[in-house]
Amino acid sequence: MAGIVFWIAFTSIVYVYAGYPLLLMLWRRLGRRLVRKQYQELSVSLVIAMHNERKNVKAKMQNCFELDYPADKLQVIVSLDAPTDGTDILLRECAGQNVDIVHCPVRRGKAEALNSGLAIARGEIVMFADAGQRLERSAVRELVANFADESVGAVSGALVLLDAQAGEATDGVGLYWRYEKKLRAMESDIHSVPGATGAIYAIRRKLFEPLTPGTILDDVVIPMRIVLGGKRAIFDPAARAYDAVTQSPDGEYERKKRTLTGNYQLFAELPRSLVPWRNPIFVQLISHKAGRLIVPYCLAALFTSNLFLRDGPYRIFMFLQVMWYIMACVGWLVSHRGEMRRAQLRTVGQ
Amino acid sequence: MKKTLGRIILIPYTFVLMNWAPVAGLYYFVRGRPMGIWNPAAVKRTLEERIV
Repeated sequence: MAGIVFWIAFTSIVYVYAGYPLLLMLWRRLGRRLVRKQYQELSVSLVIAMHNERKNVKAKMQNCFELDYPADKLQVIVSLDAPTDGTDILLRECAGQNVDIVHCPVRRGKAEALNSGLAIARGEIVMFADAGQRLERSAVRELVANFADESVGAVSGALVLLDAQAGEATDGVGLYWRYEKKLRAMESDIHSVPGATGAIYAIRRKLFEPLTPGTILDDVVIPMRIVLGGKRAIFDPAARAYDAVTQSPDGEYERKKRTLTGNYQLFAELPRSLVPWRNPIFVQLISHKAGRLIVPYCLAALFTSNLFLRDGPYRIFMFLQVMWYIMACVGWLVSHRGEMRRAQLRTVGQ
Repeated sequence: MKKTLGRIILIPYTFVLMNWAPVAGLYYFVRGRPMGIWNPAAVKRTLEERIV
């Protein structure tokens, strides 16, 4: 029994991190669906939801005004969700008459802020962006070009994480993002990505359905609804947004916790996404999103079952697992060294 | 060299932490604790907890 549990857990973990990317590589070779990208100037509404963004608002507006897209075709909408740090005052100062502002004095959350922004959108295409990330000048143009293909309902751009030297981050979180973008590119070539990048994505406005209040991942729910409705949600790495890489694993943990809670919410809100014949990207959704949710339980099962299996190769597996977790503890100590030193100093000070 | 070693040591910790996130996520989801960006319900609950 322990052997069966061990191998099921082991296979599941290997599949999620290595088997699935290999499957995508093969699948893409057999059935690649190219997008007919054609540069055009459709009307676009760029929607940015903000709460307390005092430190970002000026740079964001400047960034929007510098985008390489005809001003008469680009409507910038900022949906303010009860800011308390003066974001609204700063926004009015720097935006002038060029931005449509929706100001809600009562705090309702991001999903409702996006719904309010969409209510005044006039563009054929709606683009979503976050306040904290900088868009590349050509970002709108690159995203819009994909809508020349009628089968495309949503397009996700790529978030490029920059390190301290302003190059693309290649370690830790940066490495994870590069792996993630490779997966998305392959998924997109086959059919669709099961989720866009919140910092930069666009959809056809006619396909938008208002978000349920409290929705955590608008960038997953909106594209998934579009895919379930029969259109494609693709990934275009030529449309880029930039952000600084999160240096600490704990910072990334908080982000990850939120997105994974959002994945549970997604399955609860869109149960038809779990029905193979109703979801054209069922395999991708299960492998990419649900797979990540089950890995921790598989890791626990792997370790527990290994406690009962001590012969031959199982001994090596046990050794490797114990070493791995000891290294994780060392990593925790290294990561929190500064905090512990400060705590010690405080104790000495008292 | 020291920097590279520091980065390598952080890999298992990051992996374990990232895999703890789905467990914490499930807890938050089951308990009905919304985690949306500036979600009003989440704020209200935090305040209630502080008062308690």
